[in-house]
Amino acid sequence: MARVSSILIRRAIILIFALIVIVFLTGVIMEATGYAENVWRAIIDARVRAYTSALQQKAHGGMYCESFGTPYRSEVKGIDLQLTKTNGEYIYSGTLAIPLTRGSQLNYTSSEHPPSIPTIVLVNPTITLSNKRIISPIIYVEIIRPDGISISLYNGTIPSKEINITQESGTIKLSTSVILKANTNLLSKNLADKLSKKYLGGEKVSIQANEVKKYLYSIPSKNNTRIHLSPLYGDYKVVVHLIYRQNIEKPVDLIAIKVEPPTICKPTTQLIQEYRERLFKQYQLDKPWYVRVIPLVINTLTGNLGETNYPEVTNVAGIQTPAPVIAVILACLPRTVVMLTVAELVCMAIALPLAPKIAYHYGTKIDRLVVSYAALFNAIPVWWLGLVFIFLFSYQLHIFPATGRPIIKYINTFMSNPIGNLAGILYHVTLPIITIVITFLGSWLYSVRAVVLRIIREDFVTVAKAKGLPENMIVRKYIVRVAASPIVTYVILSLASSLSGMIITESVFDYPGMGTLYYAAIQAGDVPTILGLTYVLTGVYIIARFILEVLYVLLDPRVRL
Amino acid sequence: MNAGPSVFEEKYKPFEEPLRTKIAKALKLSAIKEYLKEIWRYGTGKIGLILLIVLVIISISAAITMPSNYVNIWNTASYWEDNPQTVPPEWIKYFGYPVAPHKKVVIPGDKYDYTFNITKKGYFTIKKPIIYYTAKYTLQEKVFPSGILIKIRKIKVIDRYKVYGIHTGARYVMPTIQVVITRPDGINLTVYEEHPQISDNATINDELFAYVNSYLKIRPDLTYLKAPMNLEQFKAIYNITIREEDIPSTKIQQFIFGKPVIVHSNNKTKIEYVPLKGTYKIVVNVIGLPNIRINYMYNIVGEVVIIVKGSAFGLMGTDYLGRDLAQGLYYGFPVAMMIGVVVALVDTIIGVILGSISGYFGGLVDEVIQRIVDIIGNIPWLPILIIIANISYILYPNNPPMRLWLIMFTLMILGWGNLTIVIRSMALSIKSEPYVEAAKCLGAGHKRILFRHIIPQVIPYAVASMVFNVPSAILTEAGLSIIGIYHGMPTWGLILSDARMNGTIYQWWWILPPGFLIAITSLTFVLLGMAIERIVEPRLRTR
Repeated sequence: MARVSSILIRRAIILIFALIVIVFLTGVIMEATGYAENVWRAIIDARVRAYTSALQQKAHGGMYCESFGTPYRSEVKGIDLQLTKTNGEYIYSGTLAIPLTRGSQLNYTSSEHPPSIPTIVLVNPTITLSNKRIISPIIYVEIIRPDGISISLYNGTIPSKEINITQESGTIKLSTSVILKANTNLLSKNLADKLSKKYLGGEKVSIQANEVKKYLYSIPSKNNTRIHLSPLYGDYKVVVHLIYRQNIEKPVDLIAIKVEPPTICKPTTQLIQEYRERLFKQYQLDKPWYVRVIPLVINTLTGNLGETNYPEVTNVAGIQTPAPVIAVILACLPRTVVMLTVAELVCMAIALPLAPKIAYHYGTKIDRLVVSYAALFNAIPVWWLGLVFIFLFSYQLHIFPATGRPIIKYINTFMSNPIGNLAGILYHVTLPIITIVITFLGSWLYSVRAVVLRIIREDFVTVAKAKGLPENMIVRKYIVRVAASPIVTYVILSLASSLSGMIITESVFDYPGMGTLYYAAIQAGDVPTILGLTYVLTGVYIIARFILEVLYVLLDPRVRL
Repeated sequence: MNAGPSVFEEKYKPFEEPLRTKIAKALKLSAIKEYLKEIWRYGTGKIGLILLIVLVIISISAAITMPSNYVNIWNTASYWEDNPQTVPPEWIKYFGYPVAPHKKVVIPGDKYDYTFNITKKGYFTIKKPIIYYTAKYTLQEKVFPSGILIKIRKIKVIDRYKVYGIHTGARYVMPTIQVVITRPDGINLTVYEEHPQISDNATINDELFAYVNSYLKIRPDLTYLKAPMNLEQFKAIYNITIREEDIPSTKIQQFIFGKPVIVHSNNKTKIEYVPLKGTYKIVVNVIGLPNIRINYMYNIVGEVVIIVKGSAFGLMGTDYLGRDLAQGLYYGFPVAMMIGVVVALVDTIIGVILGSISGYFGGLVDEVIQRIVDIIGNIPWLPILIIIANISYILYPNNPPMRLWLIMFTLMILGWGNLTIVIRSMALSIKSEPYVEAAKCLGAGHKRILFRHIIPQVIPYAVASMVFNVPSAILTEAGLSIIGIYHGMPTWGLILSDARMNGTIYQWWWILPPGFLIAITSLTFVLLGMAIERIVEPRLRTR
């Protein structure tokens, strides 16, 4: 027994070695010849073309400004304002936050624009008047940066030109919204003071009006004589204080701030170039092929088959892109089983009982008929018969459908209506199965017959015949038992290879099985799927071979010596 | 003494074999003869051998007669435009199907009739010069021809400035071309009437006249047929008013060769056409400019080709481009045979050599070879082949034969595994035979033992395996074409693939023959293989 197990272990190691080499070779063939690269280049070109045309619709004058995120808007309701009383003043204050996230990698170069200075909107504020002049509220808005520096954005009353004042005095609730724009001069002075104190050691900076935005959201640092700005990420708080002389029931309905998102403006040519380079990196085309192939193969071999991004491939499976390769394979496998494996099983069910009897009566008319049938259908390609049958039964007689695509639906939703779906499946697989059985049955019968024929000539069978044993008994006890080993080989290898589908036949029947999937993957240049399929199918075949080795040991006493 | 050759010398002159025998021996012809005799004994072998001989003869003759640029010819649509498109073979008429014959009439430019109305004004000028070329077409059966094509080459272009001294308007003028079909019922259909524009590829020099090199191709269409002049004649003869929309624009030949019939269906009246039997006269009128000098009318066109496309064509019919399928199938023979035989032969040679080396030497060599066989035996070879075929497009974009070779090379690489295993096991048993031991003792080297004692023993098996392997390469190549992988050579697979893309079951002459030929070729080798198998494996003999 120890010898047997050592033989089996040796065989297992050899088979696994073969599997690894096959997957590796497949990867090398695709990468080294530039097949994968070529397909990827074509995909990159297509994507860059699409990108370019999309860009050209949005760009102005060869420049395209891209904003990071949508315009930012934050609100606080009037009743949520906090009231503090000091020196007879009623201060209503609300806090709003502007998150500046790290997602926008800004450098604040000339083409990059920081977020805008927040605009404050007061919806329906209440004002108090005296002698047709607004005396309150006094509005004080400050912005508190994440580093703690607070700068006043606005300080003053509501600009009176924005509202029509008809009343002499008293309180009025306005029914308009008032937009407060930051006072840039004040802001720049304030900002320059505080930033120089905190970051530049008190050295004076002058901030131009158009640079205020940049300074507001960044940390300055002195680099030689130039000031370098680096973005300061985090939550910026905007605190709005409304200061009244008297207690107001509802100072304002809503306070809102608006900030335009940061933008980067670049020439479109540069953007397209960058996009192309990014894709090249994504597809690893900047590296030599042997660098690309090794992680690919190792990932595949460790069962990490990756994802497929090709609609042509996932369409076969009936899944949306992107899909894990293993899901795509598992979606197609049952369809192939339903068609090809069933066809093989039908062949088996016919050939296994029939062929030994034919062989037993070798030389008779039936035997010759079977041999001629086998010779004829060994020569006729199954896909050609399929073509003829499709033209005949589908297009001419309208008995069977010409396409197998609907099988996707039937199998995916099988449990919802098992009987109806089973009928649908049968309707779609019958013609392929008939075609395959007709063609394959010949070689099944011939092969099994040949195996049995060899045994029938053995002396022990002649002796059994001479003893006058009944035919059934001779076939069962003296022939089939001996023939079992090669016949089991034929059966198991046929079933195992049926799982890999038949590319050409499935294509003819437009049947979305493993063969079609393989073909779609090859045509699309979907390297992960090709490798995954090669791995899985070769793996199945190799497992079948190993099962055979075990069966040999069980079936053939000579191996057990 | 007379010193002639003595009797002794005569008698003991070293025996010299005739050359014929030498060659026969070298090739082991006697052995092959025996072999063939043996094969001939079986029914399958007999059929196989006969088929093989036929295949070989056809292949050789096709290979010899094939034009060197046949790939280009097959793929050039304009080369085949004279033929009717997708029509069955001509021999269907022997099975009782009506057939409109195919007729192509080539009239040289100087074989014309004319009606000249000569006026003498100093020199001979013609008031209305017309020269015409006529072809007759007889429709004997109730079936429409599949179209008309008229091609005119070398049309003379006249320089008006020089001929007439007029210096306004278009300078170069072509003659007016008019095509009139006179039907058996007396209707004169004007199919075309225009002076065609000078196209770019016209050669015009400073002579009085020049020639347009390219063909002017006239295919009748609605533009001229719908003219009242044509339709009124139908009214007069059949008393049926035909409107423009009653002319079937996609099957214009039905209108030209048909008799209109009013059909009532679903409370609607529709005009349909039934074929009108009889003799049609197709006249191409070339009308020169009025008052032209008589010598300008000579050779006004170089050649007129009038083609009435039949409803059947050739031996095997045509495909959607009008390509003669008989030709394509004929030239497919050598390609198919070459693919099958070369791949099987190379595989067999590799299998025999590696198998016997593996069995004879054993050890590390055996291990390495067997591991390679393991790998090859487990490779999903069809996908790999398709990948290689795709790669061949990258490597040789404009070289179809090279692409075919690459595919064949892959087939060779993937095909020798099984034979190697069989040969190895045979070599293992032969190795321990006493005569091999004896040879070793006599000092024979490995090479001698391999080539003298082992390989000759396994050759019969190898031949059987080779013959069985020929069809698989042919079938694979054809199968690749079916799923759209072309190497560009016109093969049976390519024709079948075209038929699948562009045909229907009604076009049986397009779908069935390539498949039959593939099947027959495969069958030849399957039958031969079965016969040989019975010789080398006597236990399979059933007689």
